[in-house]
Amino acid sequence: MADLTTKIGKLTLKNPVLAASGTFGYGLEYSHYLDLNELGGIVVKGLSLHPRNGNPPPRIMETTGGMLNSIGLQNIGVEAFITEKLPDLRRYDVAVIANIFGNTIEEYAQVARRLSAVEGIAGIEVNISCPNIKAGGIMFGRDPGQAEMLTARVRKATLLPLLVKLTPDAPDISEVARRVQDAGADAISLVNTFVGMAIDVETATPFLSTITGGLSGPAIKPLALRLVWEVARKVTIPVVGMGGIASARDALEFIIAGAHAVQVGTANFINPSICIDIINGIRDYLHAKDIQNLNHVVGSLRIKGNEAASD
Amino acid sequence: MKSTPVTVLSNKRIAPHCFRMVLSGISEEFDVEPGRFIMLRVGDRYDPLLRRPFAAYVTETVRGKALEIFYAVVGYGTGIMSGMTPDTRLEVLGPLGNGFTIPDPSRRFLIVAGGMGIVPLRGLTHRLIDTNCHNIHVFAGAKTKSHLLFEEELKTREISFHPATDDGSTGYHGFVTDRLDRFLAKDLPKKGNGTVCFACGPSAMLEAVAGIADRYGIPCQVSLESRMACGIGVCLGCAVKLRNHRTPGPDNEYYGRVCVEGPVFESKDLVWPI
Repeated sequence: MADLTTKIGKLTLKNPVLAASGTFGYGLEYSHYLDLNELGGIVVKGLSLHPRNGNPPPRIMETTGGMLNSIGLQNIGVEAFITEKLPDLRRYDVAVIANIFGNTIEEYAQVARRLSAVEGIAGIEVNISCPNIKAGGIMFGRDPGQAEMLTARVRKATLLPLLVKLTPDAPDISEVARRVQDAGADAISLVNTFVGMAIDVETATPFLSTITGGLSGPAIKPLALRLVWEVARKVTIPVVGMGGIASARDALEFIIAGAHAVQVGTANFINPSICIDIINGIRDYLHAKDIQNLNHVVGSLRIKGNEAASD
Repeated sequence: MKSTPVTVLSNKRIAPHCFRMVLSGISEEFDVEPGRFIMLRVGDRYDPLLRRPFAAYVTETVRGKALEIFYAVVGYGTGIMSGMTPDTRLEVLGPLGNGFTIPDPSRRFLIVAGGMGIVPLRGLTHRLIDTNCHNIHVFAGAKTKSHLLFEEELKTREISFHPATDDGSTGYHGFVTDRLDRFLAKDLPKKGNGTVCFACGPSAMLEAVAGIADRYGIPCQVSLESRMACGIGVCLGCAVKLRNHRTPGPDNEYYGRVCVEGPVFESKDLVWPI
């Protein structure tokens, strides 16, 4: 059987399919729908130093092939996660990656330090890309200098494998990725949601309480894929690709474009066991193509003529 | 729990604003407690993307157990549903959420429905009758007589049926909440009295019912509707503001999920208006 393992820094994943933060709760919610042990990893809902209430409703709206959300990073806080969720999560043989965020660089570092002191965390994903909160989040992800400074500070706070999750709404995402790499990140996760909006024409009001929100789902897949392809060529650390993945073929597109692993997000809402279908589909693909090792597929994009040709 | 493949058995308009869809393919063990819901996947592609939540009712058909849902065409997903023909294949996730909590049968039950809100309450009413509750009053509000659902079905020996319509074409001419208020004013001079209330309908109506119930000291359960992406508690899209009674002070409000903590809530646990 083909080898599906993949490496993110010093972290080895049993397969390249992770459940994306904000779409998989704290993991345990899905234990009724699939065997968590079979996943490449679980990226838990974004954690902050203190619990957060999140944004007022309405928080979601469906759009063509996608959905807008403005949850506002509602979460139980890092301490409650450690005492209430992590003990149950530890019973599974699955890589638990903690997604973290803060209002300030110092808060990010504090959350990272706290999670480093407990058993059962395989890695940390730093969210510098949430479009739905006033302070922190995307503000750090749009500016390469801020992104670098924040990554360096969190790097000092933890020895755990460090993923930094980028926003597609940065003026130069490749530059942000390079600076994050220079600051000591072990991998780049991209993309978070695209900022979007929807309007109720009957009332001439926005559908979301915060006016704008983050667009996810199949609608963003081509946009995300192009960014993953571009960034993967410009950094030497692994890229974890995501954005609208809803099938094994979608996942394989990202892997062929250069991603070492993928995250599945919105599709979990529609089919709670879809991650397993995607893992099986990738395995079937490798078998059909007689490929022994997933790593042979990573970045295997073939471009006719000049390999550097783009336009 | 896995997603269950189901097949459309029938799909017909039963009122100017309402369709009835029957879905076969559920197992004999499948049961939906009144107030719980299912997430229906409308098609097998990404458009529409998300499942839709519906109150569900298990019914008997010639082909065995089936799920019965009622829907108004309010948007894209329900628009597609209204055109579905028998044998269309869909997927059902559920049953999900927390349903109505039924107290002892000796109580008097006030069921207050607005528009499509009658749907989960009709299931509740059948359950009440099945569990030997016989003091049941149904207050059903609708736009007109032809919009009033389940009128014949709910006029049984155990039920006093009190319709109210916006145009006066049947029953009380006005809001169902005013009808309820008048009923209680005449009938319930002292507080408590073993009466319980269950309500479902538009949020303004629910707020009025909650206010009336509070005024008369009647415990009230309300069933909420919300947009939701997942139905299983992870997207946090269906947030509703709740009050934590254990923590006094201004910080006792927090967001709960309609899909997991609800869709049925005690009205005193909600921060009104919702």
